[in-house]
Amino acid sequence: MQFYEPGPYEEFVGKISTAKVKPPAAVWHYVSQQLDDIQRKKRVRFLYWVSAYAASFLLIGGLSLFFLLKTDTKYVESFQIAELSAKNLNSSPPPTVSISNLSSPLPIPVSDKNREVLVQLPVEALFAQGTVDRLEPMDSRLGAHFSPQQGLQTISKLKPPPQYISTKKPTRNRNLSKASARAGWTLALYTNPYFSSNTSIIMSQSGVTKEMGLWMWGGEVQLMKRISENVGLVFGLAVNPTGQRTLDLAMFNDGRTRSKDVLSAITSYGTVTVATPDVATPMHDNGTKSSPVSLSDLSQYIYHIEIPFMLTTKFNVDRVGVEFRFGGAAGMLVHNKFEVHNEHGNFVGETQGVKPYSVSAISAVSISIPLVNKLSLVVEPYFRLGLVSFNNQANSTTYPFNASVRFGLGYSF
Amino acid sequence: MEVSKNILERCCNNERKAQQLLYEMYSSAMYGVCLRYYPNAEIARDILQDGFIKVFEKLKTYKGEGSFAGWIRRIMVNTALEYHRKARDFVDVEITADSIGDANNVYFDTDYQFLLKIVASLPRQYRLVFNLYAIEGYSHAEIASLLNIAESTSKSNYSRARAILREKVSLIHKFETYAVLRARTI
Repeated sequence: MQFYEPGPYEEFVGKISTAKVKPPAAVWHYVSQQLDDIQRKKRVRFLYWVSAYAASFLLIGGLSLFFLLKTDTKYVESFQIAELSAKNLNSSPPPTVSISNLSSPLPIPVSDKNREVLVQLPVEALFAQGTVDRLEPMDSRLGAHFSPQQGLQTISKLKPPPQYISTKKPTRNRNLSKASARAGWTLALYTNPYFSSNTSIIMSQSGVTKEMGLWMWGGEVQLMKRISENVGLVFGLAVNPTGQRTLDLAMFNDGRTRSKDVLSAITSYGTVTVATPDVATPMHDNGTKSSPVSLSDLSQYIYHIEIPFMLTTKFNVDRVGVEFRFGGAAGMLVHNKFEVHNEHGNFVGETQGVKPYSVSAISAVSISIPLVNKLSLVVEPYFRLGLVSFNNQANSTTYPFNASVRFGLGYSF
Repeated sequence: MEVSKNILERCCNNERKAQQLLYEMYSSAMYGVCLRYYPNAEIARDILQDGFIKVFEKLKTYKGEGSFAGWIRRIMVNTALEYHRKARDFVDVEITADSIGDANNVYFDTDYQFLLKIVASLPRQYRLVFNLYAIEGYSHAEIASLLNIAESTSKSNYSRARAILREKVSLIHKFETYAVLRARTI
């Protein structure tokens, strides 16, 4: 029996196929960084898609409601002339209005005189228009003559008149809040706490960052001009708060000034730099601190004055008005403050590198509940997403947002 | 060494520590694979980095069929072949201790550096065919489709690569045997 004995070539192949080489440590750093970038891009893309879908949904929903609620009574009114006179009952084939003409007013003006005109209409068409309430021969004299193909035969002589056609003037079956339906303008005032944060905070899953959202007060004076019963334009003036809280930021001792700690943090909104004054901090006998690091909590408050502009579509549920709002806002920076709390005390300053302007998209659902006379209480789930990053750094992809359920007062005039 | 299911699940959930653990488990072996295809530290590092990004992105598609090491290895090989297709391997081959890794690299093996130098001496296409056929176990038909060459070309490339390597390895072997004998006589 012959055994195969591997030669130097086979040994070489075996060795080279199993050999291991440790890569430089920097490779993992780059892999980790790239994974972070991919995650961030995915989340930003997701957020944009959600915003886009929400906006489309609001727009389509609003427009659909607008057109759904907008029933034009002209067409129905044109069928009022279908009250036929008795003299036409015995006449030979009456003039017919074809179905294709149903969408346009009949060429005969509606008056008492020409109500005598005979119009023969298929019953199905009248059902479709909602003009006929129900179909049942009310009078036995009519039974023999009636068939759906013959269409409507209303006879004024018959007592009581047949009820194939509703002779009532059609009305819109809507329970509109009269005050809001009448009003051309509405003034609303809001002042509320907003929860503010930014996209990189909610996207971060690494657990490294301790950036958090922040509750801040903001307010808005808003004017709405109703351009039709269901559509309106909203504009106003808003104080828009944005901020964040960062916990456990490390302050380093620079070594030269033993008691001086320095904080330099690049946050999502800009750079924060604090140098604590020389303070008598406890030292060990050898003059070095027990730990070179002390921790700080940072809160950043950024306020913009903004002009919002929104399109709103409205429908009413009983007396309560529900509006879908979508639009944007642009504004300028008016207040920029940070607060640092640490063992040395509290320090206040300005975040550096914050853009002096803001542009954002807004979506909201505004629910107005009538109170007294022309006053109404407005409850408004509200979401605002910054379309530009606050940080002046070109590569910053962090977008601030705030959300609130706003409460306000509306006055219609 | 097979990775635990728990680590894989955590990696799928984008837990960075689990991902780092997985990287540390397989990076040495995979860097070896990358260097075999591209015996240039810079390119090999790029392939390793891109390969691991793909591993983490496609981890959810790993069904647990077959060894996980083999699955990662296939991804690395495919990434290396992508580099080949994009013709990014124009950089001259250079294998030195510095280019392979850190100076204090505990895994660094001078033997391996020497072996890599032998592989690096092969022309680029011979090297790829040799790696794919002799080490990864692909058939010539598969190699032909992977490298977009004729099957006969793959066969002849491998045959020449093997001849070159045999010659070099047996020469080295002879020198080694001679050195051992000489050491004994001394």
